Amino acid sequence: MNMMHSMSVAEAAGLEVDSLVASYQGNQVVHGISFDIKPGQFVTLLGPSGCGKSTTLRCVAGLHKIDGGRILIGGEQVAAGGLHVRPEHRNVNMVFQSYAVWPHMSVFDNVAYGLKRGNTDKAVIARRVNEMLELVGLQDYAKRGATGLSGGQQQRVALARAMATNPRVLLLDEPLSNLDSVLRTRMRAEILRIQRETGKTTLYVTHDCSEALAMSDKIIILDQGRIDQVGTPEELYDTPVNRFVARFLGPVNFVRARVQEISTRELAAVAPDLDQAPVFRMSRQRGRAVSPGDKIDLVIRPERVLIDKPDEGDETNSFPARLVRSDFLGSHCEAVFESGGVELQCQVERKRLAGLKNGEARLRIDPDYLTWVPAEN
Amino acid sequence: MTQTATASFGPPPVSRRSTALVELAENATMTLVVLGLLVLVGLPMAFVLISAFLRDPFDITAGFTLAGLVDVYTDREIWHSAWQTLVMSVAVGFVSTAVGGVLAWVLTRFRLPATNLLETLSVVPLFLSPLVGAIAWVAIASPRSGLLNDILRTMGAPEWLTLDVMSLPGICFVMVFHYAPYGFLFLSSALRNMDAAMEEASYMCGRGVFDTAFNIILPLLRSAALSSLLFISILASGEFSVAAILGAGGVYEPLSVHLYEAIYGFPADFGRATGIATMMIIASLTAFYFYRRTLRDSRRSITVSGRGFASRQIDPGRWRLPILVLFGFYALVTVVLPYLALLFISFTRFRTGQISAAVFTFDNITRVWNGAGAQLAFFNTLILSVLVPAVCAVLAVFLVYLHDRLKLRGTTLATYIATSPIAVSHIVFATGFLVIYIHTPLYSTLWLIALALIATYLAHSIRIAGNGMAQLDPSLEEAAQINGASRTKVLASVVMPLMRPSIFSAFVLIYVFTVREVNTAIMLYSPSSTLLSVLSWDYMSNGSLAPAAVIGMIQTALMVAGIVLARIFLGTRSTKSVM
Repeated sequence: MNMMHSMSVAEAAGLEVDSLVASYQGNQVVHGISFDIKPGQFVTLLGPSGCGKSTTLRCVAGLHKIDGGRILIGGEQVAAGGLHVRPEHRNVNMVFQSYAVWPHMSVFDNVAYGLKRGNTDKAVIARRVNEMLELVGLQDYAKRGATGLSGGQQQRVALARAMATNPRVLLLDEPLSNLDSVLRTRMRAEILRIQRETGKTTLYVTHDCSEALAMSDKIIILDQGRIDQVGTPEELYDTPVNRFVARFLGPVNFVRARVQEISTRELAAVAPDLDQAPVFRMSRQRGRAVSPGDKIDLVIRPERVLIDKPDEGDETNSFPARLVRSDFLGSHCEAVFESGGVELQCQVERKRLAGLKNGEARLRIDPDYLTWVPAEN
Repeated sequence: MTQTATASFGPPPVSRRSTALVELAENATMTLVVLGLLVLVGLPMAFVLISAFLRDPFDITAGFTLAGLVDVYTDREIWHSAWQTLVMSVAVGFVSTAVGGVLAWVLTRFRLPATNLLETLSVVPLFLSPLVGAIAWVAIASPRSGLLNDILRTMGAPEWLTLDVMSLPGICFVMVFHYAPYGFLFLSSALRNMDAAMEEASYMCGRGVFDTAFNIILPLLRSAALSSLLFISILASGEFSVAAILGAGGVYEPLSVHLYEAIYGFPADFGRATGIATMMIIASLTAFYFYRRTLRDSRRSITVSGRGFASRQIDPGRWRLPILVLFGFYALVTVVLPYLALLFISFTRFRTGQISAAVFTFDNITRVWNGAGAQLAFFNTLILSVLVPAVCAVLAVFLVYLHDRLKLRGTTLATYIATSPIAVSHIVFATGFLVIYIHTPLYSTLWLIALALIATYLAHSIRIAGNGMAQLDPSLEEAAQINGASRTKVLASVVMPLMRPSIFSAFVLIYVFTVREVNTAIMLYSPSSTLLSVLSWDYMSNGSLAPAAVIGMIQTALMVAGIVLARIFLGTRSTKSVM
């Protein structure tokens, strides 16, 4: 290990959560989850409200006591059994959903707060604070009181304050949920830029899938206190393990099907509900146990449905359908097709719909973009 | 890997041992807090009951007896008095709540000019203690020598128009106008917290203002109104000074007066006093049980929105004048008339029947100021009125922080003990204090009164501090903690500064209470620890109206000066909004 490398590793510590159990108001809400974050990674806990993601984050912060399992930061135990290192001693920092910018202090004092310990030199603190304010683009606001700031500015103060102490892990609790949509997109890019520049190990909590997909190195999907799936954004989007994950990451159609044959790389399944009971071919997805005769659900993303006229196009993975209705949304149309009593949402070009006679069409799904999940009742 | 970058500001992580140390410190703190509160609050509460069963109320080794209790509980006079106390207290609670409620509703729901002035006006009677109020009303409307009666007579008014404040309606009237602000405070906060959309929905359904008031607002306020009724009734049941002065003719002798007489009669009968106290405790605990229940209900039923919302205000239209007249009358009766009377008596020499011949003079003032104990009483009051609210406010914030935020083991018990005096009237609690501390060196010092008042008012300041804490977003503290602040630093750098408005209002309220308080002090004072309120009571019970009025004026001046000073030193200068 050369010197340069060891510096950056020492600053950004890894995080390990092992069989974490936690309760909220007397109810167990986190049931033994495990995951780890490598130094410098950006990992998102994604799930609906009440799935235990915020509780998990607060356990890492030390604001919430764990009931079981253990948490390691930089290889050191901070929570395990009877051990509970208090939050002020964990050297992690957090951006709160409500920002929690102290209204009785200036912007400078807010950011400097965590630096004023022992006999740290005032000049050192001032330099660090200004560095941080520059990082978030608030260098001209240092003397301002914290109450007069807009939501986006308070957000930046909170971020600067959290970065100032050079935490081993940066925690963000739904930081964008109180912003309007334009500001949200901008702050999303901002947070990502700062994370990439500083290489900070980051744990991010959100219920918004577009935030998670856009920012994360790795996404952890939580449902009712358990992890459903862990993976890169692309992996999760392309090969969800169950209906919940598929649905949570974006609009989706499920179509019932039965596995017909399996080869080493391919899988064929028949969908009896659709007109002409078509056979779909798709990639096998290594590592997932499946055998002929199994019931599965095809996962068809609306933007992956190709529309042809009834008499043209490829025969593979296609079936006849009729247009039921369509809404024009500018960049595209949201159309609903019907085939054998099954309704399918599709995202299509407007011109493509105009070419259809009486709404009669043939829908086709590229085998590369078709995937499946086990059937659920 | 273990090398830490020089840029890191974080301290080294703590070991397992210091986690254990923190826990030890937590438990030690809580043990101290609970023990402290037990000595300060719990023992006096318990001993009112226990000593009623003792052969000698001051000596627990003397053995137990039921004789004292049997005497009290078989006394027909006491039962008559208990009945009177109950009826009067509930009546006062009821009417005060109604008056305060009407004022609160009018103020929160109608668009009126000078709202701030009207609001201040509604609570100003708090400054006039029941004792001083009674003194003022004796001066105004005692049947033979009252100023108003004098004026009426000179104008040749018929005999039946003579006002008589020394009657049951008179006593009720004086108490109601003292307690109406409590009703106002209870109901105005409930009204403010009530989502105006509830009423707007009623207007949308085509119902008028008064229909809405009766069908929507009143039912929603039911629990707040009940709380107010019970709270005021408990306070009124322990108010002995008004009854002792205005009921002197024997028309009204509540239990509190019997209690006072048992202790200050000759010979002093402490057994009888504690016996009467048990009766009052049983009554007020029963009432308090219902009070707590309605408080629980009110949490459920009143819709509180986190952020302030602009509540809809109705244009009063042709009701505007009547409403302003109502406030005018309220101000006249509660503020203008009493203070005019006090001023008149303090600054003039006159003889009954010859008001027009009154001469302006400073004689009364100088005579009282140079008279026995006045200066001592003034400085004693001054010391208490700074000490008691300061200690109460700090203790309350500390306790609320322990309870609401740190949630340490034992804090619920601590808070329960600390707020228990709210369930009994002051004179009863003071009796317990007397019994406990009579054999300690504290007895007959000013510090005993200070302790008793702190114990009594802690409950009020905890209420205020608790409300303030509830409005503080906990993540403000968590953010400080995660930035490396210890608990004490979080308390000092975030909680205390943000709680300043609550600390200020707790301080001011307790300050006012302390300056005018008489029911506790009367039980515990000695010649060296006399207070202004005790002095004015002494003058009044000797029939010297003018000196008593002078003292009442001094007390009022002290309150006003104190509030102005508190505003300067404690008030929020640049009104930084909290959340």
